[in-house]
Amino acid sequence: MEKNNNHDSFFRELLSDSNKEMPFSDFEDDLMTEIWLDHEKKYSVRKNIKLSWLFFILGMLSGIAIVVTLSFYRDNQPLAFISDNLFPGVIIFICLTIILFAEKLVKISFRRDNQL
Amino acid sequence: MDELYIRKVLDGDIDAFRYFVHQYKDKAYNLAFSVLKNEFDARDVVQEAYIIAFRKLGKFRGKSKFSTWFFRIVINEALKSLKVAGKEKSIADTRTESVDPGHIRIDDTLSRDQQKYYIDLAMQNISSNEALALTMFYMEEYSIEEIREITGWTESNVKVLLHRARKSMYQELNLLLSTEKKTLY
Repeated sequence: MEKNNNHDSFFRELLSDSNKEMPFSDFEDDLMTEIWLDHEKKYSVRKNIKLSWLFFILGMLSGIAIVVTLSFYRDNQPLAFISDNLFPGVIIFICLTIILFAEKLVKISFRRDNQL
Repeated sequence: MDELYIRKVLDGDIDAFRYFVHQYKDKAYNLAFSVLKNEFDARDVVQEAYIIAFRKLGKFRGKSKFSTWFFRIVINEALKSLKVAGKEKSIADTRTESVDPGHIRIDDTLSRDQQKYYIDLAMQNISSNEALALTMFYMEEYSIEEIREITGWTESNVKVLLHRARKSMYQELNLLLSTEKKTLY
C-alpha cells in the first residue's frame, strides 16, 4: 500500500509539468466554422429532401395526367399507333420510375441524421 | 453548466457549442496526444470528436457527465485513427525486470525544461494504452472508476495497465538518463 502511494506521489510529481494544451491557436475558430458548415449541410440536405418529395409528387401527378390523356385519345388517329404499341410500355415505364424514385426517397428521408 | 449549454445547442444556438470547445479542448488534446503521440494527428482527432459530439448531442441522455461521454468519443477516435495508421504498439509486456522508484533519480542538475523533455520522450516511447493510462490517472487525476467509465476497460485492466505503464516509464527514463550521462561524460 505504502509502496503504491510512493509510486503515485512520484508519478504525480514527475508528470505534473507534462500536461499538454492545444497548441493551435486557431483551433476553436476552425472547429466552429466546421460545425457551422456541417449544420448548414445537414439543413440543406433536409431542404433538398423536401423539394425532392414535392417534385416526385408533381411528377407522379403529371404521369397520371399523361396516361389519362393518352387513354382519352386511344381510338383517335394519329395516336392509334401509341395506343396500340406504346401504351403498355409507357405505363410500365411510369410504374417502374415511381417505384424506384419512391424507394430512394424513402431511404434518404428515413436515414439517420448522423449519416446525412 | 454543461446541461444548460446542451439545451441551448439543441434549441438551435450553434454558437453555444463553443463553450464545450473552450472548456474541454485542452484535456481532449492531452488524451488524444497520449495515444497518437503526434500533435497534428491529435488535433485532427479532437476536431473529429467534437463534430461527432455535435451531431450526436441529441442522443446524449445525461446518464454520465458530458465530459465523460465526450472523452470516450475522443479516445475511441484516437484508437481508431491509430489502428488505421497501423501504428498500434503491442501492450504485451516483454520487460520483466522490475524497477523501483528508489532506483531512478532525475538529476537535479537537469533544468526543468530538460526534465520535461526526457519525460515527454519516455511517454513517446511507451505504448499508447500505457501512456493513456498514465495521462488519465496522474495528469488528469481521474479515479480508476472514471477511467473505466471513459475507456470501457475493466477495473483490473486499468490497474494492470497502470502497473505496466509505471514499469515502462521507469525503464524508459533509466535508459534515457543513462544514455544522457554517457553522452555528457
